[in-house]
Amino acid sequence: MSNFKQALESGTFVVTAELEPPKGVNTERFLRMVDTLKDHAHAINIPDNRSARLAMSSVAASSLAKQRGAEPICTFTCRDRNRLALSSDLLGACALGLTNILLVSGDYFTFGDMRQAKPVFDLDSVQAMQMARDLEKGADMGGNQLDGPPAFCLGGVANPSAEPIQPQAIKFLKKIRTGVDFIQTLDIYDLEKLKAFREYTAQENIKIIAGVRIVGKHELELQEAGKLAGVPIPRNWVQEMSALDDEQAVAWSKQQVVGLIKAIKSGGLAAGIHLTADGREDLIPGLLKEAGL
Amino acid sequence: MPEMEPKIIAMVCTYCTYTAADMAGSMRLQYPANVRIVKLPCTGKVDTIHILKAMQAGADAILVGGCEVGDCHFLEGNLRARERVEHAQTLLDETGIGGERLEMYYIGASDAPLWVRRVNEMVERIKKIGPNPLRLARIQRKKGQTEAPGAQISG
Amino acid sequence: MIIAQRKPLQEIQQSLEGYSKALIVGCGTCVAVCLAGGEKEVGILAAQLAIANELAGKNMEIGEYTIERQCDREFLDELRGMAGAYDVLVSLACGVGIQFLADQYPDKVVLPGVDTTFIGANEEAGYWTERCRMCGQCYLGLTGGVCPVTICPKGLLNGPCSGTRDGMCEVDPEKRCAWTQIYERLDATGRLDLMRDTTPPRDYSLTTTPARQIHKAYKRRYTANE
Repeated sequence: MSNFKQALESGTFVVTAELEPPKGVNTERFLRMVDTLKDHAHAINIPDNRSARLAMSSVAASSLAKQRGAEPICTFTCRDRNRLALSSDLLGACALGLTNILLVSGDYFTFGDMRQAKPVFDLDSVQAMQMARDLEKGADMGGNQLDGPPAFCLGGVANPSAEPIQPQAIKFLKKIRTGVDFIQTLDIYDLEKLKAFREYTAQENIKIIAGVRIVGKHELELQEAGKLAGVPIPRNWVQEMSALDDEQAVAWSKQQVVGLIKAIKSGGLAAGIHLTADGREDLIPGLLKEAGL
Repeated sequence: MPEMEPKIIAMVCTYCTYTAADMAGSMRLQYPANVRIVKLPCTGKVDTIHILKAMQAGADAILVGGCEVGDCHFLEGNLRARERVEHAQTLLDETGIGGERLEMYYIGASDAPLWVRRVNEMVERIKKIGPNPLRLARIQRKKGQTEAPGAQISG
Repeated sequence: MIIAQRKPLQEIQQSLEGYSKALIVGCGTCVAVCLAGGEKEVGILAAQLAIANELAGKNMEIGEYTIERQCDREFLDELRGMAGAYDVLVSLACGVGIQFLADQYPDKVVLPGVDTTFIGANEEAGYWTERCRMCGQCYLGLTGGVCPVTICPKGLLNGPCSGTRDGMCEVDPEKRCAWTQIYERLDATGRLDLMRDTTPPRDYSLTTTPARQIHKAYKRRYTANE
């Protein structure tokens, strides 16, 4: 069992952090951030061409992070790989000791670098999870026996901020039935939405890790240009931050995130939190301390 | 330098613009004789191909005249004409002959002075941008002359 | 019906460089309805080319002819007599018609005058929307009549993804999320259980190209001669 899975099952309030792989083979900054985060988070999420913007593959970067002593969560999108490649990469990941896997549909090319690329989406995230579970039972999608079945700590995503919420909830329940070990949510800005989402999941025995995000002027600009993937930054945040310079804006959003984390933990709203702070991962240890984690 | 009279084709609707043009005549309003009027039941009858063929034939400009927006006798004919004229302008730009040689105007039945004004506007425009280059090339070929392009247009 | 769009004039002109006699062949079915390649559009293209060529001092004879459909040999035969007089045929039919035309006149240069874009519905005059991606295993019975393969850009069979924003799609913020629409349809007819069941992965072997279909009653007729 992976360390991350152990942490989840122990009932600890888990902390995961997001770290994008480098856009090239220069791993200097990436490894520096791995070192910064590894002792403050139970696991580090290594996304897979997030927002359809090129980065080193998650499995390679995750392997480098593991060699550095971190506990990575390796991500695979359905956008770039068909079922054969997904199965193949999952076997490879397991062989490299990467057993924490996050399976997602994947952001479309709209926000990314390569708008002319061919979308794969051979499977959706639910079908990919089913495939991963079947691999663990020793068979591939063609019904062939595997020479050594893999074992995973499997996760998926959910978006409690989505409107309407019912279709999301139905999808969420499908993922649980397929058998995931954890769900990470997209960024939470409104705790009421998270609470409402919990109504749908009350009966389910599933670890939900709430996503929170430190943003700055760069993210505001991306949103203005319609290029920010994920949950939109709410209007009141935009208003507050627009009047500040970047450093002040980041500090302000950091305070909001500290507040959100405290409320999530004290309210028992999630089994843990997932922190995103693009380009500012060095702020995470301080933030966790402020939040009492 | 050859003097070329602009040849303007006016595709106008019976109910509004033709009536205005007729009235201009009765009112003895002076305006250039360069316009050949094509009387249609409605500007909605104007098809993109008519405009292109008229240009191909050598018209220097095409003026489409219809009822004011909301007043079309057939309700939407002038709106359809507006879209087709805009589309035809892009097609003419594509061919290199220029969409500025085509214009749609809204001239109500009683507005004879506006009809005169628009005709004058078109004539001025052609004087500025020159004759239809096809027309110019054909005239020059016929006369066997080697004139520089952009011959003067007389008023 | 098949939707296509007339290629930009410049592209057609470039492909016609060096030819002196071009026949523009229109099609009176799908492309006529989507205002891309019917008789009218043949006339428009011919007029544009004539004007552009004359302006450039190019000498090119341009013929115009429209047949009912270019995907049926009986109509293509109508061109038999006149095709010989031209050195290039510009077809305004969809990709199917252009190829069928080229098959019929293999010694002629056949060029496309349109880009074929999708199969879709006539929402209104001048407005067409894609509705089907020909997956060969129709899911519409499970999704309340909204195609997950087409209307969802990711083609998710178990949707929605987490990118939905206010019921709109992350790929086109002006388009409603397909799975939100599917949810509403199934909810309205009391069939949400269809959405709660996991749909298994698509069988892409059904869409290996190029596809071929022979009706059962015609199998003997065609396979005997193979």
